[in-house]
Amino acid sequence: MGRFKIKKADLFIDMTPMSDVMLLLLTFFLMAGTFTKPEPVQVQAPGSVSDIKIPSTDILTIYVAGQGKDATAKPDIYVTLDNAPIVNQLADGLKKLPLCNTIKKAEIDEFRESQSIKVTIGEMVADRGAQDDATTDSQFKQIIKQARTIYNDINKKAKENNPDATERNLRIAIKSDKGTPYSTIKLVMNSLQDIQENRYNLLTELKARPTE
Amino acid sequence: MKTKQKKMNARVDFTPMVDMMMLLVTFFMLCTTLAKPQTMEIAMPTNKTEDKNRSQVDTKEAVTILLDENDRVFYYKGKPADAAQNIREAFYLSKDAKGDLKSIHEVLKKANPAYEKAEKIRKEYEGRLNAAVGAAKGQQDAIKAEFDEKFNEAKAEKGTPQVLIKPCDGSTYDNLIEVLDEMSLCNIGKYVIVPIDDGDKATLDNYKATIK
Repeated sequence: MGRFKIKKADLFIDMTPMSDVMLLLLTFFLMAGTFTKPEPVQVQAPGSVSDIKIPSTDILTIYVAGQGKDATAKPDIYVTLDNAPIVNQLADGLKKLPLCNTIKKAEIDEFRESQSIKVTIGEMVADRGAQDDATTDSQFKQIIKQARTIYNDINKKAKENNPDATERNLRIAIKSDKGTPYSTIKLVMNSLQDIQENRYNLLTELKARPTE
Repeated sequence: MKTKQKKMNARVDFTPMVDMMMLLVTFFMLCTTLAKPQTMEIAMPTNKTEDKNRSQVDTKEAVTILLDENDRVFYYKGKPADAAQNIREAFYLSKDAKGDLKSIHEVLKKANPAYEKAEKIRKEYEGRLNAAVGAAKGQQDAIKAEFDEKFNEAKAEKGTPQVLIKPCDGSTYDNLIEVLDEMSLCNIGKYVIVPIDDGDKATLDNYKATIK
């Protein structure tokens, strides 16, 4: 007993390998990740085996959320455009649209800032059936129509300057909660159909193909 | 000279460096997303009146899927007139199996005579694409284009069913996505989402009453 030789422990731990590892991790996340765009609402999209990736620019996303499984609850519907200059143009044009002059100035400023604007579903119900009459279109339809017009103008101008210019195509994507009742999705789809937007994307999370 | 030569410590303390790295890694982990969202591209029919006739389908080869509330799903083959005899219940693959019901996946696979052939083509090209990883982009695109052509040809073969998806208001977005997913899993080329009509609703209600 008492014959252990007490070694003078070196308290200095070499952190260099740790630092190396950290640098590696940092590089990985920098390279592999893309910055998350702020979303107006949290949406839990359903899974799908489809593995098409959505391009990262010129997407108009329609968020449908906040309803749960309750068909009578009012859903929150947001329209988000990921291109700041076009959002500005769109915001400028909003006041001139027939039904959108009820949108408050603060909301338009908010739209410029966050690039998303909330639309209500009530209007979408009311205007079903009146397809070609622009004055009865809901805010939702008018905003999408306007965005499409802006893109068409940009493409036209680009074509005049340079006939070989690549077209910038506005894509419409729907991102909705798993539990959203079909009646709500139907309203959104019907509204899109009314304004001749028949091709769009449904955003989903990746799910593995079931094995046979 | 009376300066005392100090023994220099060559070790640098890396701990603060590691602290900082950890902070950066955490920041990038939280603020970036690794995966781009997946998307499912759909094209809806227009609702312009002159196109109405196009949605008429060859009813002999039609499979109608009725999405009901509470994650229930029903289907029938053939004409809507014979729906009352042909209607059956099925279950979603992602949900639990119910009794001796068939899954909607199984039903569609069986109804599609081109399934095996299309699946073979898909697997073959998947292998070729995997083999071509790292090859020139043009070469990969060529394989993809060839695949699309062959795959679509196989899916459009004579005798392949036309699937009508009719969601009830009570069904959820998740249900719709799952059925759309089955279209790609079962290699079905022709499908369309149509509103449910009164006839189908009555058939469905009657059938539900009988199996209770």
